[in-house]
Amino acid sequence: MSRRVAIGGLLVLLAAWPWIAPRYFIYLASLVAVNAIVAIGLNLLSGYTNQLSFGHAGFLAIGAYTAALLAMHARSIPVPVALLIAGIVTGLVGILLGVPCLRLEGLYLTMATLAFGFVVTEAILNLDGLTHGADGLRVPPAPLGRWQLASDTSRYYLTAAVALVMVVLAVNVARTRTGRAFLAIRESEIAAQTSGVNVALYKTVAFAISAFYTGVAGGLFAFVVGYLSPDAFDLVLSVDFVTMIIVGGLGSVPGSIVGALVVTFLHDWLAAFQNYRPLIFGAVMVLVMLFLPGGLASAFPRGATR
Amino acid sequence: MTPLLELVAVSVAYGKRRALEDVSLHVDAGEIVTLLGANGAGKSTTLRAISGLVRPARGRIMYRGTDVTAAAADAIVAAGVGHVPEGREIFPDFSVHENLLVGGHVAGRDDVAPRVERAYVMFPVLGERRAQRAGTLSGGEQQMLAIARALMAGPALLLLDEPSLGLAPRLAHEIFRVIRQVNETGVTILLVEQNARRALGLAHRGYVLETGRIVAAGTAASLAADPAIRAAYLGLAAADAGH
Amino acid sequence: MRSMPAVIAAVLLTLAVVTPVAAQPGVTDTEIVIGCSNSFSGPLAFTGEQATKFGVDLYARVVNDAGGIHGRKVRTVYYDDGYRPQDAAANTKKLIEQDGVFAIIAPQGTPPVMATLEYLEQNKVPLLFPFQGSPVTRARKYVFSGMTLYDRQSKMMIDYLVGPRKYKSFAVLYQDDEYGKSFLTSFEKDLGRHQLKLVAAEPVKRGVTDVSAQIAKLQAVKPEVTFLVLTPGPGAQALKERQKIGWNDTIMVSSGPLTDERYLALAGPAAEAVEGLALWPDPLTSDLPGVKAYREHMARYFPKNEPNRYSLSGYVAGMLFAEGARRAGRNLTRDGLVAALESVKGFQTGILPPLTIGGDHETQKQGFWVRVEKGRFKQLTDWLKSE
Repeated sequence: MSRRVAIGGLLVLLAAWPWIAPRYFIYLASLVAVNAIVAIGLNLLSGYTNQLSFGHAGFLAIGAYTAALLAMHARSIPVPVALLIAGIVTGLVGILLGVPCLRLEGLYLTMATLAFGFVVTEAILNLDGLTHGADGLRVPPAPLGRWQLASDTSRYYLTAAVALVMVVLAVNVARTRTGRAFLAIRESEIAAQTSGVNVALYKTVAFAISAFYTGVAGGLFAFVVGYLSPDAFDLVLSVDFVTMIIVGGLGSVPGSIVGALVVTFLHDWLAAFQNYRPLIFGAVMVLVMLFLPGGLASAFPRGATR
Repeated sequence: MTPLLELVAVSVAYGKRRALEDVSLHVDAGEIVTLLGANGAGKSTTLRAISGLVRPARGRIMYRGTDVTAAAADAIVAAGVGHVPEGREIFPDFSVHENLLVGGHVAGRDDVAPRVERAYVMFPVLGERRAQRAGTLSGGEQQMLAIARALMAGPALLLLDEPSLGLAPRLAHEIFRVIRQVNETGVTILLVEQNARRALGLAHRGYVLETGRIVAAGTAASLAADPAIRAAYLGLAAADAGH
Repeated sequence: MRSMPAVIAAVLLTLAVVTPVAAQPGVTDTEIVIGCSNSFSGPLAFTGEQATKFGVDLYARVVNDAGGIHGRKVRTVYYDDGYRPQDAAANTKKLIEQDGVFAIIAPQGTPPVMATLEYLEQNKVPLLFPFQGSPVTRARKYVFSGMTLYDRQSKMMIDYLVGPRKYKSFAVLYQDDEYGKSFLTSFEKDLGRHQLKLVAAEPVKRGVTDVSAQIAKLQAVKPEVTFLVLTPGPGAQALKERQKIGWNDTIMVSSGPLTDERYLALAGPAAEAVEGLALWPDPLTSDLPGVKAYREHMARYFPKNEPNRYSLSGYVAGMLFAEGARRAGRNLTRDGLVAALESVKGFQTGILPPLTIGGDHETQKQGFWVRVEKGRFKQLTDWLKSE
């Protein structure tokens, strides 16, 4: 009962946010929503099937450029459809990356995903006829029928609504046969195999779903930020995403959201520390990992966070 | 009659190390067959080869007359071969109930619920603890859960790897009672067990593995009577044979 | 778990601390707040830090110690974006909406600046003297360019080389981005006015340092002049490659942003006799009164910091802002500042030639010719004109 009240309260807060929060925090909340979708997607891969990716900025870039190019050249496509296309395109790339990654573990998987991130930024630089290369791309406002989502508030509602849908889907995935198979792989790969779970297939599916989530988030990122350039999708961003799920809690949907919230705000707040930003950020993260190795989600009663 | 399972000259290597060398054996429908041998003799490797977790370098594995040597692990489970791996390998963070649901991964949608109910009838203690985290069960309960989970896929052949390992004698006895009960429901059993005396008491036939090769085979009674086997595996001196 | 949504809500509310916004943002009776998002980490951290904390801030210290502007002290706020456009956009929004700064001063780099242009223009916030020369900033009501824009640099370079120096064949090695392509287009246009054409143009992708293939191709067409429109790394690489293959019958000429000591340091002896357009006087050796004052101020306020072109450019930006704010009067508004800057005529910085800004919002329109002699830039001409 109290859980229902809490979720209801949270939904009311989300809906009322643009009226109670200062303007800048509307924008920040949109970024939190975008990052939460990425963190959930990354968690489906890393938290559920033990495949840690340091290349999710690459997936974000693919989704972002897909949505931006659609908004520029096919304005009749409404933004939800554009986001879906961005997710599907990215999901397909996820399969292409997931299949060779099946054979890799640990450090080698890290290296492969890391390299993928660099390949994507290189591709953006080299496909400059389409992407404008290093100069970047100004993203027009998201089209929705006859409206244009040109204000911080409208963009916030778009990202919040999409994030909500993605959260509900993710929570439900954990309860399905597919979701159980993911978690079973994390718990014990041998036991999953002897239970008839096609580990290779599900690991690839996890890559695809994870990439799909990140691609949708990328589309939102394009509209929220309004400007894309390969500089946006560097290794720092990929590491930020990994940090979100570690701080929040591996394999936890609410943990992903809290992780995204904490890292986004911390990142923003530390911008004021200029040269010391990377140092402080790293130190805070190490402290969190030392004292809360299960992430913030582990600070709450177990079982509930799955 | 075609055996339910047949291994023809199967060899398995881990890197350069030969784990199995020309192993041939068969298991007929309805039997309980046991594999005896010292640690490292290749018992677990035989089971892993059958369930597709390792690939034989040579030889053939036939299940119901079909070659499954190259089949994927999940396809073998779906074909009706269940495997309870050594050390039980339950999903510790899942509830008992969730463990069973994963076990029913390859089962048809309508089969899952009745099989879960059947498991709770066969293992009442699991029914009592269905919501409990599997990692908090006792060793004997975890072993029962592992068997119950393997039965969720509705196997015709169940591979059991050291089911009594680390269990108190009373619990080991209970597990063996369960294995006999499972066999009586029509499930064929291939059992790897360090307690040879108990295994031979339960099985119809047996094979003895030494450093990857089969060195003896026969009915449980004939193996139990073999002085060499008595000496090596039953802990009895040859002189005591007539005792 | 049941407490998780409540925790999320609590965190959000706690973080949303409402900041009061003044009637004219960033201006109180006692201070004027300005700032920017810049690179304090990442590839351009040195440039970013020098232009702001040792450039704009240096002049702010000078002004504040002399009593401020109409009694108001200048205070600066900077945020790090690490050259990531999304962080530049977020930081700039934060500066405007949370910190309520009066104007944005001296941000750096085309992508980060581009990511904030529309937003600043919509919100009528002055964007002053960004450290980038792409003409994308031109013709915007609230934007004043800093560095001489690339098309003007091109015009000075071509007119000088075709005119007094009487060269006729030109090739270019350019960075394949907005910076390089702006120059390429302008070179073609400016040569066209003299009925000339580029004999060759070779692109260099960003991040690439091996330029041997491009140098070989350029050598084959034997241009009298080869322009280098590059960043310091590949620029130095091009000079070394040229030296390695013994290509001596061309004059290498560097673009304004490349004409900088860091690139000479990377190229070493291979840079000898390279020519180029310089946008700022030598910060270490120039005896212009303004540069001398700059060195004195640096020695007084930041004695540990070596003078360099980046802090010098930030110092000039601070000086121009102070001049605009002074002209706008005690009743300082954003539109007032824009009008005041447009009225700047023949302003003496003592560093650059007299500045006249006007309606085109371009503060710098000049450069002068230099040649590398014994590892330093030697001035060859007086200030060249681009009008």
